Amino acid sequence: MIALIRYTFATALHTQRYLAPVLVFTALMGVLTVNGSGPLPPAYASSAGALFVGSTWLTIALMSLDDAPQRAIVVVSSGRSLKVLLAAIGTALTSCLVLMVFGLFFPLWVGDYEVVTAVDLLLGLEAQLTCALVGIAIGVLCSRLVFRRQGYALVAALALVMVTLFVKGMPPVNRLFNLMATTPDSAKLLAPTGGMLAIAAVILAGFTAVTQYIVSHKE
Amino acid sequence: MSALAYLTHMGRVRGLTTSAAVSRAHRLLDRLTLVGGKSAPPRSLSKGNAQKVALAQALLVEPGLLVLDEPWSGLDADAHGVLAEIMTEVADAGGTVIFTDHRESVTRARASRTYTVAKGRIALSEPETVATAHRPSVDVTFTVPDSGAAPRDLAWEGLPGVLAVGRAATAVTVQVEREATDALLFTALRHGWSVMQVLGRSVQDHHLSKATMKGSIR
Repeated sequence: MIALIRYTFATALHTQRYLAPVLVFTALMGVLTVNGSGPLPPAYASSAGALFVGSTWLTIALMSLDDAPQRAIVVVSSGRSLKVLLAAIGTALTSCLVLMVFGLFFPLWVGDYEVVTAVDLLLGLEAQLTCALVGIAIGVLCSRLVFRRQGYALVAALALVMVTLFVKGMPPVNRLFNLMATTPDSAKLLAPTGGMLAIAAVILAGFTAVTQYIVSHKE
Repeated sequence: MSALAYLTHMGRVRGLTTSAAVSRAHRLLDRLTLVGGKSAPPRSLSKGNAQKVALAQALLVEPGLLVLDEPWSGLDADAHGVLAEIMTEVADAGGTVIFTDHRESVTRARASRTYTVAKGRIALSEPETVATAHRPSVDVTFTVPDSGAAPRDLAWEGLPGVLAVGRAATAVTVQVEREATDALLFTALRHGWSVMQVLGRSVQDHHLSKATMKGSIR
């Protein structure tokens, strides 16, 4: 699995397919968090939102690195197509962990916040991880493996991102943003955010299973 | 990503350690004489050289089953012999090689069993001994030149159309199909061999040993 993740990372770096999603993430971070002040949870909601969009795009890019013949070679070399899928998810997750560090400390650097505690940082981590998992889940489902035509994949991904972001009260992303925008105390948000994180993990597992089912039937 | 890095990654994916994958990739690329350099990305290589990288990738771990679709197309003449050697080695190590080719002469010379695909059906071809007995062939004897550099070694059995090879101390006699004679002469001369004798055969006159062409590929 580590070998597959290394291969996926190396391919992503050489093809530079990571550039656009990472630039979008940093641009959103700049727009949403520069000159922020007051309590930290709303700022971390912005970081999580930026990571949500960035992780979705990054995952779609990572899942489409190899063309069909090359993917077949990698699947044969590794033995199982599920391993290749999990490696792409692992690569996306590792990349998101790096972006999370940026999302965690960039608001502190460019903003002017009251008191910063370990609980604030933990909440920021939880919120970003939740959004990263949902973003990866959408990216996995809306990849070239499921949609043969890139246009349909893009429309499906946009639709899912919009629904997840803007349908009022819908867990985990919209509910999480509502909670973080209205509750300034990070300690009170830790438990509900943990719940959202669990839901996000279930969504990722479900979308991965559906994608693998479709892929194995196509192959 | 360079061809070498790509093969190293694939070797690791197949369970080799990094050092083992690197050394195996170096060995295979050297043996297949990759033109364009190991550090060139596979996409930038010519068809034949990209094919060599693909072949090396299949051989990173000793294969139990090697499936090759027209493996000679696009390969240069030097690599033809190496490919045939590799196929023989895989078969000798207990593996199975399945390959396709449009040229009957190639399949007959290298396969222990050939099938023909025609009109959507696969049929076992007639035994090669019967088929070759009716084809005109030429015996070409090459020798080490009296002066100049010593000739480079050639995998005679792997060259196109070669039916049998007989070796002596300073000479090699190759039985080759008539249509492949010119290509054989060209390759041998390029490798520094000198032509001593070219003798056409009648179809009944098959006295050279066919041991080299039989059973090499299971």
